[in-house]
Amino acid sequence: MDDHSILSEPVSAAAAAETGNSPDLLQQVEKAPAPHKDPGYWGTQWQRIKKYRYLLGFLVPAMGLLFVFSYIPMFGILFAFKGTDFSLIPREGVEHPSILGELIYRSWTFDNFVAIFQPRFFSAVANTLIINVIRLVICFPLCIILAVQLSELKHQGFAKAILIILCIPNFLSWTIVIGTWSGLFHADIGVFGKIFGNLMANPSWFKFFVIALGAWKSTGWGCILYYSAIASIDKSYYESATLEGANKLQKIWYLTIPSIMPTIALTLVLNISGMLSTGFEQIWTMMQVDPGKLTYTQEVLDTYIYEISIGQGVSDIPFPTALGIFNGLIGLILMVGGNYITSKTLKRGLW
Amino acid sequence: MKKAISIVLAALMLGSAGVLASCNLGDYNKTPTGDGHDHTVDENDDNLCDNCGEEILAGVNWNVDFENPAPLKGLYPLSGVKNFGDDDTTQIIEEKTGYDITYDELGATNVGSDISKILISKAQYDYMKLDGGSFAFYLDGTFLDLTHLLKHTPEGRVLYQLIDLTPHGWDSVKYTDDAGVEHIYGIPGFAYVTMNNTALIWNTQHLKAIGFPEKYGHDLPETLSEVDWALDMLQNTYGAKNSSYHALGVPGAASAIIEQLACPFEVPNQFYLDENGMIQRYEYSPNMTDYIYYMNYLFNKGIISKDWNTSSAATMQQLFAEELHSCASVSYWGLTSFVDAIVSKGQVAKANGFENTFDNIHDKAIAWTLRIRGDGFKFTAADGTEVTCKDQEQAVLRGDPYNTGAFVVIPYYMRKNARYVIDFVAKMLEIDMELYGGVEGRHWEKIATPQGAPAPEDYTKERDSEYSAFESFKDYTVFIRPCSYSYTDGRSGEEKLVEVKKSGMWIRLNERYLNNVVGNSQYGLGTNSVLGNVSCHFQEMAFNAWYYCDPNPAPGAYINNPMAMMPPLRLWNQVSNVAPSYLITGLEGAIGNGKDPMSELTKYREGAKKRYASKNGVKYYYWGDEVSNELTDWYNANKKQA
Repeated sequence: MDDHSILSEPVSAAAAAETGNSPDLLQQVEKAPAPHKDPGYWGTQWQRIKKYRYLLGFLVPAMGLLFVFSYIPMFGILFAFKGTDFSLIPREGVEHPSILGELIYRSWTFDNFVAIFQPRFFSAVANTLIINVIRLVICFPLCIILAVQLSELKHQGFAKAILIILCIPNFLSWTIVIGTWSGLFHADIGVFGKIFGNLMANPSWFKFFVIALGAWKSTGWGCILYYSAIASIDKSYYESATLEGANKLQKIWYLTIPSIMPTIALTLVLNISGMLSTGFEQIWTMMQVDPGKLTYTQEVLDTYIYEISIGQGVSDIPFPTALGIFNGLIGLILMVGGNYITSKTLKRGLW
Repeated sequence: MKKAISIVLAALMLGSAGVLASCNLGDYNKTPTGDGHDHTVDENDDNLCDNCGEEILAGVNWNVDFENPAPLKGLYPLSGVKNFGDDDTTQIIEEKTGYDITYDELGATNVGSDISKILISKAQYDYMKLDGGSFAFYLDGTFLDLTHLLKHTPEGRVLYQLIDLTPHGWDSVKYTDDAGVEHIYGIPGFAYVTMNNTALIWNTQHLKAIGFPEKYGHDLPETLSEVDWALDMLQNTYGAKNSSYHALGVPGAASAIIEQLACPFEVPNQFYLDENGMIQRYEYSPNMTDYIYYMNYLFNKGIISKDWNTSSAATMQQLFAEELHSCASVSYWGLTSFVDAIVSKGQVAKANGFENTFDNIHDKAIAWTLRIRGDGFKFTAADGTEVTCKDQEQAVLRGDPYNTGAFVVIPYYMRKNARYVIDFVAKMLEIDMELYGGVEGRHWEKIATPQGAPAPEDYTKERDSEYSAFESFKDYTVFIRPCSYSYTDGRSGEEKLVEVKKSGMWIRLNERYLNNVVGNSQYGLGTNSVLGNVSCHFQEMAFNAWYYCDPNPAPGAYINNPMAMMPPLRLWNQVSNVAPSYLITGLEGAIGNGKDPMSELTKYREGAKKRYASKNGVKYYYWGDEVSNELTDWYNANKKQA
């Protein structure tokens, strides 16, 4: 019998007499709490907020910073839609230009987005993609291989020492790294330059050096993540695998790699989403080895954006903003696409 | 809960709309005034428009007291002067002009973007001294139109005359609007006279070792044939022993045009008039093609290093000091550090057996050539082309008697003290001689005429070299050429005759001058060509190098830039920084392209017409008919002779 059906009806004295229950008991029954209602989604969320309000309070400053410095400035996206009469510099007729005023009263246009698609842009994107795809194919697995190798060393203290040494180049600035290597390849005074010539100033070798120096500098640091992920694998699995008769390679392939797959998936997605960025500092510094030959022929997207916004002497806000928006959209697409690919192939993804 | 959130969002949106609607947008809410009349007509100089009676240049303080002028704040380019803004010069300026100035300097790099930020933030500078690229902000109406002030105020009239002493003085700051009305947006500061910026420095001991003086009868090469012979012999003699040796040192790609080697081919100076009467960039000139062929020829022979384009002045100095170069292209300003580097290394003195001192190296180990004459020298280029340099009666250099080096502007939002700024700049021009030449008794002393020198009162321009011969860089002995000019002092109405020295005089500069006045040009806000001839000469005597200023250029001695004194023009200005650096890459690539220099040069020549910079979606091609037409129109309107 459903208790609710009984309790939902008021109990009269006559009914009480009929049932044989005492009036006190009936009053208690009348005063019983109302049936529990489903709070629904928002209600549940509100209850959780109330429950964890002190923990959430810790997030408030960070969220405030994020809102003020990341979300409010997104309002600047609107600059990308402004035309040639846009300027924030005080001038005759407009002595107090305001951002709001320029946005409202100056012409709106899509010309800045149309202007993105020019030969120089496509050339920069092509150079960027070539470098990043090769990095993904060569340097990305290199970190994993190095981490696996270090984890397989018997003497882990020695492995850690090697890891520290490999990490040292990461702490050198690109200026030092490129200055050192370009000196080695100087045609007149460099050790390698006297033998091979100044390959670093040769446009044909530019991408090679970008990737090689990048690998030399960052592989050690990059493998730390995988090394620590491997270190956290339960050793009993390896013991079991040994008992099963697995050799080293089999253990690596069937045990180590799958165990660190979440880490690999995460870094792979992040690498794919950053496919349009090659690292401005490295590329720009390497171009200075021979600015004349390299700047125009080996331009990448980062240096192109720098040139058009500051470097070429044409004071401009709208066009670089439009290019930045376009770049961000492509990055978003790449991130979503990369996550889809890793979800399908590696069965892991960011979400 | 959903309902509550929806209500909050709706309230926020309505509130935002309300805030937007009620926002005071200041200038944007103003309605246009006036009936389109000419608001600059002011026949009676009362600063009220004759057509509408309203104040011209509203916002300018017309009631000024020049006896107690307002303190001013000025922004200057990076000077490199120690204690800039707080040294001997600022005291002279305050004494002589009566103005208390606060000085600020820009940074070394990113000047353009710094200026943008300064203007956007409305930094309180009463005036700014800018380069040509930054002056181009005038195209957006950022700077005050000075035309009315220059015409209708006493101090403005003084300033106008003093600048007008230089031919085409105001051209570089004049803008003609669509209605044909001329506006002046800045005050130009000139490079004084035609300048000899660079020289070829030779290791004289090396030249003696290869027998150059014996072969040609003089110590240094004077023609292109002699240069070529000397470089060949040096490379064969010293390069055979050391693969790192290259006879000619070039300090990097920016120095791809070596003046002394380019001028025998008569490479144009920045721009030239083609056969159709159109202004073109000098990179497109056939003379440039011949010069590139020659440099490529030197490159292929190993006379120039394979890494010449990534070298630097410091590297070149070092290699010269190690005797890995015998000839180097050195700038006037770099000569002292060049000699210091040789002394520091000590190898040159040791190799030649004399005492390793600055004077010995300066006087005995090195010598310089300012000009090389074309003598019809012929050679075969890498691609088989037969090239001949010009056959010249006299050696030429590329240079201009007048060139605007800086622009003084008043930001529009700071126009309140415009009259004080104009008055200050006018007074600075009136004390030019003291500023650049120093003060008698403080920075120099009058001395007796050196024995054997002609009398000061007998000086004429034709006899200038007779006086130069007795000047001494070592003793800092200078002959002040007589110069004078006259103008009407608008403040007093009097005719003034400014005489630097009526009949010339001999002076000796002292340490105070050498330590201080040499940097004074950084404070300068302009000069005129009359004073420039004299004051430049003072400064060069402190450098112990060659004669930097050429006050009396012989006819035909210089290849002039037809666009000298050009103001920033709208199209060219957008690419005037990037186009030259892009095209110099073509020159650099062509020189270093072993077998086919012209393919590289052609690629960049054509590329400049396709490559463009974008601003607000508008394309500005690095070069092409649009820019050429704009420059040619200005040239025809301002410079073309009938």
